[in-house]
Amino acid sequence: MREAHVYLGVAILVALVPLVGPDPYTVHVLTLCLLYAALSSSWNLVSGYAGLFSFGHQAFFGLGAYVSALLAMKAGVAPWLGLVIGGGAAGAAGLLIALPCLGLRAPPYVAIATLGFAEICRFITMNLVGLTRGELGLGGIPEMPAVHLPLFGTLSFGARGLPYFYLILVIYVGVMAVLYRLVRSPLGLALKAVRDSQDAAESLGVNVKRTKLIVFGLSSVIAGVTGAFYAHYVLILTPSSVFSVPIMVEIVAMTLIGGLGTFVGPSVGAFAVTLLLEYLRVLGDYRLLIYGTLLIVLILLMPAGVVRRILGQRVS
Amino acid sequence: MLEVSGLDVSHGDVQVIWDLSFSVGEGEIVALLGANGAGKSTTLKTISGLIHPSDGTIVFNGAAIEHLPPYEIVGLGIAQVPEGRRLWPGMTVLETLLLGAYQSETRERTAGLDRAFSLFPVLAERRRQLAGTLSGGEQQMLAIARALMARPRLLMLDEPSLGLAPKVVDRIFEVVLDVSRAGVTILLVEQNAHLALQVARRAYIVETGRLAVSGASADLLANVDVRRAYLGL
Amino acid sequence: MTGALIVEQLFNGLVSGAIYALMASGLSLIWGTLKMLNFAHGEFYMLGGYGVYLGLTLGGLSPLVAVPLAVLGAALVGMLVERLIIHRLLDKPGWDESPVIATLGVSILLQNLVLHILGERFQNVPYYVEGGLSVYGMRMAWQRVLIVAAAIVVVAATVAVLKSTRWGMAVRATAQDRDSAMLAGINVYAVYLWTFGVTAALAALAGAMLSPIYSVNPWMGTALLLKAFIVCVVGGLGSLGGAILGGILLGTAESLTVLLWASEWKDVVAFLILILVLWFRPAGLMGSRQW
Repeated sequence: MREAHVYLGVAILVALVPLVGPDPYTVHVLTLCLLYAALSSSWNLVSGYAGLFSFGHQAFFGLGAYVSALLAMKAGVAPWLGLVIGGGAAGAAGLLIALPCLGLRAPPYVAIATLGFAEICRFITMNLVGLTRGELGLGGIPEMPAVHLPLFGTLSFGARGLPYFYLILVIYVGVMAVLYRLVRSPLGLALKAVRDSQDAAESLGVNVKRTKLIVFGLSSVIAGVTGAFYAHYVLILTPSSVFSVPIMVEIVAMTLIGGLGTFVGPSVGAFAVTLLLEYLRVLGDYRLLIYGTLLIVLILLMPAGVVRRILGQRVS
Repeated sequence: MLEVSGLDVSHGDVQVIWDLSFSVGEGEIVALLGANGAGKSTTLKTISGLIHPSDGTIVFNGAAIEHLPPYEIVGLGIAQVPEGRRLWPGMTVLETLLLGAYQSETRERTAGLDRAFSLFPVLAERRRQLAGTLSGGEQQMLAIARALMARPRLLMLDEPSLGLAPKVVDRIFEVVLDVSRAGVTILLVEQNAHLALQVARRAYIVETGRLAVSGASADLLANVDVRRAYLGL
Repeated sequence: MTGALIVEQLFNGLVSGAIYALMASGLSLIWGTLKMLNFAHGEFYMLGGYGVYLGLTLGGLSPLVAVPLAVLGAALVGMLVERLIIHRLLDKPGWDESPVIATLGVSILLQNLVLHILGERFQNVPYYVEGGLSVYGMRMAWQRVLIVAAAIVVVAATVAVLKSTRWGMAVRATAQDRDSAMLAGINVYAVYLWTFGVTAALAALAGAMLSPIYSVNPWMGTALLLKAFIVCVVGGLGSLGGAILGGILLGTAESLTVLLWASEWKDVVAFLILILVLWFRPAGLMGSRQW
């Protein structure tokens, strides 16, 4: 349990950061860091632990975002419920696409099939102009409604304010708690067995297919919830802002630089890459040039990720 | 001819060969024996250059080879018949043999083909057939023929009897003796100790990556303790 | 809808298919030998397009000189990428995934390098040959005919080289069993280097041939890379025949969608075909047949 206490301590420290220097830009950047940390951790569950190298995680993020936003706008569903329904919709889609993928053994097939699915989602969202306004952008998404907390009083979600930071912190801690329990549960052990050798795991009586389905579904739910949060945070969605390949590239970069298949790796990578991309903005046009170069240099220096580099090969 | 001394080899964090030393003289047939997982195959792969040792030296005809890449080691005259034969399943018999002489001149390759076909006439019949469709024994013959195409001075065979019927094994070992008589030095790795000690003059027995016993085949076969502890005879 | 229109559309599908096949066979070759996905493959296509643009408009060269120069330049960049980056990741821990980030990094780097040097404006490239073929009222621009011809010649030449030259056999041996290839005296690192060069050249040729029809821009490789991946998987990753078959299949399906439905849905159809093929034939149409 000591390890869990360390994580909790770190989370509390992060929670205190805005109180020290409540500069709105810093809070915004930290919100993005936590959002990507949750998203990358959920992808790591599928790719790092279950060994299904999905390249279409952005589909579930985008589905969560659009479902929650559209429900709030067209049917007046409360965004709080939207987080849940967005997550559920993404989870259902995850199960749907996971089914054909489970029959595929070669990792690239899974990557390309899921990528194809994400592109289908992007094009459909783009083409259904009547519903989504396509690339013009779906604007006017409602903010999260105010909540009344017994000790803190009323928490109202102004434009990109502190309450959003705390909401995503709660989501992130919740996600990590679920993942922490999952990795150490019988299901997690089964996953490890599957990753080491699918045949061996099958002979031990692990239901490989069911295990992978559960994990894929759960991971999609998490991505959907973060997507729904994102929709009510930035308040405007375009297909290319939530469904596009660059989001997947960032998730992969964060997770691999942090350490695929390690518990904290994706979070470490999410903070590193998000901060890097934000603070490289001062470089203007050179930003992406430096970003690409840094990705190459980092992977050359640490092909198995930062966390393994620091804590040794045996982390899992 | 081949001098291995103080060899340490690791797979990642796990050391599998510990301070292994042995030698093979010109024209000899030497066997490397031991149980499954003792490190015999790893030793051969290290000599071939597929794996590089963390410590120790491998000297072949006076030249240190432990840090050379495999394709240079082949050029020096060492060829390996890998465990499980490892043929290219989509190559024909002819293509496989030609690739075996990858570094040779065209004229040498033609001569090599003639030698291979006279040694294994069955391969000449099946020259257009895909390697993956041959029988187990034919595949082993092809694997040996492929290694011989490089005109090696030292031929290393990894478990040539594995998974083959006794009759086929006899045929394979006849060929090994033929090759030896033609002047090629042979290092033989086998789990079937009885068989190996019949063809080899000397043998080294490894246990969990370390040298346990070595000596002339006749002495090893005569020693009751060795027979019981290591050879399962 | 006239018969001529249908034939014209099918011919356009064949043109796209030829480009897809060129791109996908490169990806398949890389997967076959190195067992990695090259996410920077689209950028070699882009470099081919820009190479021709520079040669024709700034250098005033004839296409007969500009196209080979562009292809050669891209091949050199490809070999540089292999030697400087991929080679250093080989056999290290994390090799199953590390090339993904490395090649994504290369892709971002090359796009932004070109963006920086040549700007973000879409640049037009003149047709190599003006005019076209007119048969029974159907019009086919010579440029498009040229694309199909070039793709057929180059892909056929690649297959022939792989099948019957010493170097081609070394590539196939490396793809089928790398350790055995090394034991036979093949320098597999040289094979990797040249494979990168050749596949970059194939992609650059596609870019060079297609750039007069679409304009060139720094991001032109991204969308095509996704299509090429689909083609690879539909045909069977690692299979050259699959890349050709998949390319033509996808090109035809897209042009039929444009004809019968609407052009904005052609990509959805393409990706749906991918998922359906994988559902019913998980190893692709041609499977992972050895070449």
